[in-house]
Amino acid sequence: MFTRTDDKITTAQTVVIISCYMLGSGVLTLPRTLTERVKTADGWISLIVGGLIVLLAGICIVKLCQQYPGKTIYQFVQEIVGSWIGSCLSTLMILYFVAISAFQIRVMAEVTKLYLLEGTPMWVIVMSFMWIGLYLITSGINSMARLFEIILPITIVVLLICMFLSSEIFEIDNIRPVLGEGILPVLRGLRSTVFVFIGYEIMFILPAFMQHPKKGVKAMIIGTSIPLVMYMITYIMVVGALSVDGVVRSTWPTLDLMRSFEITGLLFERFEFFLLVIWIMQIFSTFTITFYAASMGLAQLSKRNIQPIMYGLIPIIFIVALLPKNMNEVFDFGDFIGSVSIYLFGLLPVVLLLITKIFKKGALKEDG
Amino acid sequence: MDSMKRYFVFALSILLVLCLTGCWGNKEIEDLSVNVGLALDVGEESELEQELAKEGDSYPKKNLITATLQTVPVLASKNEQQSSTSKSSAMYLNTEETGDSVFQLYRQYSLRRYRPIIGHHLKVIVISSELSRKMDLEKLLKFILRDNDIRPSCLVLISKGKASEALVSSQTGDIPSFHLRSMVENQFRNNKILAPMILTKLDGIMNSGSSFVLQNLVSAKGEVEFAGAGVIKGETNKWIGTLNEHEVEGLTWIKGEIEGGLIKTYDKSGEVLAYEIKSAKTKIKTKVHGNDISFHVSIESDGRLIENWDTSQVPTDDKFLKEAEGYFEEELKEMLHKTIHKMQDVYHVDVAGFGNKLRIQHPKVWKTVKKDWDETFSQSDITYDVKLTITDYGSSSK
Repeated sequence: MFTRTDDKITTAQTVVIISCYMLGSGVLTLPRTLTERVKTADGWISLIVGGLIVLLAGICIVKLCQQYPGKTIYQFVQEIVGSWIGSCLSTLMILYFVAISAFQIRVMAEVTKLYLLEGTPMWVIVMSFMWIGLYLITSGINSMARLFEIILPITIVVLLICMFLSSEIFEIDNIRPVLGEGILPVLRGLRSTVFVFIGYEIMFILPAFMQHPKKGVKAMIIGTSIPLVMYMITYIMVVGALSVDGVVRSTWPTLDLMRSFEITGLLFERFEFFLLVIWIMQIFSTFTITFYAASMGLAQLSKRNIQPIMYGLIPIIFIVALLPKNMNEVFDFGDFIGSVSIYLFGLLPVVLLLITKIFKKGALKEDG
Repeated sequence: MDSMKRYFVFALSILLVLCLTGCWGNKEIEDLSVNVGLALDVGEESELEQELAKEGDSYPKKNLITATLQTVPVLASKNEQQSSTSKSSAMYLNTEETGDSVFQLYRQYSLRRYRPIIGHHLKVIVISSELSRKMDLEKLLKFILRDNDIRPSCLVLISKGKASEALVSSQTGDIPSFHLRSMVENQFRNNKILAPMILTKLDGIMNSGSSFVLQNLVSAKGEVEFAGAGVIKGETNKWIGTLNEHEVEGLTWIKGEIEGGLIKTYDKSGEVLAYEIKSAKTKIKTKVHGNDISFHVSIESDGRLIENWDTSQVPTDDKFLKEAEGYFEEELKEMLHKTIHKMQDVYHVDVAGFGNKLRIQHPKVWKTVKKDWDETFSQSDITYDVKLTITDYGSSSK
């Protein structure tokens, strides 16, 4: 089994990991996917509500994990529901993490091909990305956390600068009226907000590595708030500039916002490359976390060393990433992952928590 | 064994050299045709194209569109053929292609010029009113909106005459596309200039189905001027007429897009009076009574008395200032009246954003009238009051 005793992370690092996981490829399409459902400019309210719901699910997860200190979901799920169902659930989760990492890498490759490296073969982009990711995760969660601590502030600053600069084409009328058609549109949008908040499920694993697992809830709250604020700013600025009718027509609305203005006289004139390059780092972080979570799941499930499993997962993720044949399939893949996430990580923690509470399994035994 | 290992490392490091080639796919910017402007006209083959066609340049197409691609830079080389529209001293090169698919026209370019065309710096698209009267704007712009190189920050303009003539300049060293792009920035000097309509905004407006205006261009003798606006009907995305400069002034007042500019009028003895706008604020209130929708436009503005030809009147006299304010308000009301009349009674379109105000202030009502908005708007009552205040009279008091 691969659990280094010194491989612990601080509470701040936990926050950073959660935030980095959430901030992924979703932000590039969020304004469109959300507006398509909401059909008004009220998507930012959906984001708040969606964020709160996710937070609740996240807190359930943390509470559950706190009953089994030092153990990840893969280890304690069997204690709750028995080894058969437990292994099945673990396998599902592993597949889910593999799917997410493949999806992130594919979206990254698609955007890069469209705007940055036209003509570079997809597999080259994907491969180089994967090998670097592998290099990072082989040294464990602590190195990942430290890298993310560097990435996250840069991301926030760059995103804020980009959004601030776009204010010249922002029109307040585009995001008015607030709740003009009542609360219904907001509820319609909830489903698509869940996808951008995918990432809270990492708390199934992280508490096992935390120095102070008791602070898990706090980490969860802060870790969710950072992306929530980023998403809201992005949504408001994009819809404010592109308008509701314009945003639904754009494949990558956040990038189109960046492409819609030029700033002369500043160090950079065009900001989409700037944002994209930074965002690739963010997608990289999402990719590495899910890659790590999947390999750890496999390692703990099969009780083998984690390193060979990491190498073994590379071709699998690669193949899954290249499975979708066109953009529609890529987006469908994303939707599918989103739905799986709702069932797997929205309902599961509540059910598991109920089982532990009712049958008093695990917790007491573990404590004793 | 050790030497084997060293050989292996050595061989590997030679492999690494392969990575040092850098950007082997690079293209020097001097060797590219940077597309800076595009003019779309009704399909009509130029003489050159007709001759080329006679020599055998033909492919299946309908001659619906003539695209004029403006590219920079022009090399001094004399080998390069130049189309009839550009002079040899010009800094730019205009290439005309006739056909249907805009994308194909772009690619046809490569059959005539050796330097490949790139779209990253496309600044301005000019569409002739003749073409947009016949064809849906969306069809014309679909390729432009989809292309990954062309930025949606590109400006869209309408031209009264041939669009290709708007991309010609008689001034040496002037690149018409850049010229047009920069002229839009003059909004703070003249309120006859509409807020720039970039592709991003246009895409949204076209999808919303509401009518809109695009800045109109007129050209003569190699000079291009902003003159009024072309009105595009939302249902069809086709051109239906123009607003003259005076009506565009009224429109910018209603839309509240004033960043600067003036009001000029005449006093009772026919002498010139001019008002420099320092600030302007427009509020539109919508009122809904059953099926009746009405609007009230209130405009407030501060400004400076900048010119009066009747020198017997002095601005230090409060009475004169009040009187002058009256003249200006009268003129502004006249302007508003004409603009609203043109929109409601002549073209039956709402291009001043009244619908948008209704959407914000009465979202539920808007949903029911949205479909036929232009017609509903033409029937609605619009009232207005204006309040202009002359706050100062510059550096000359007598």
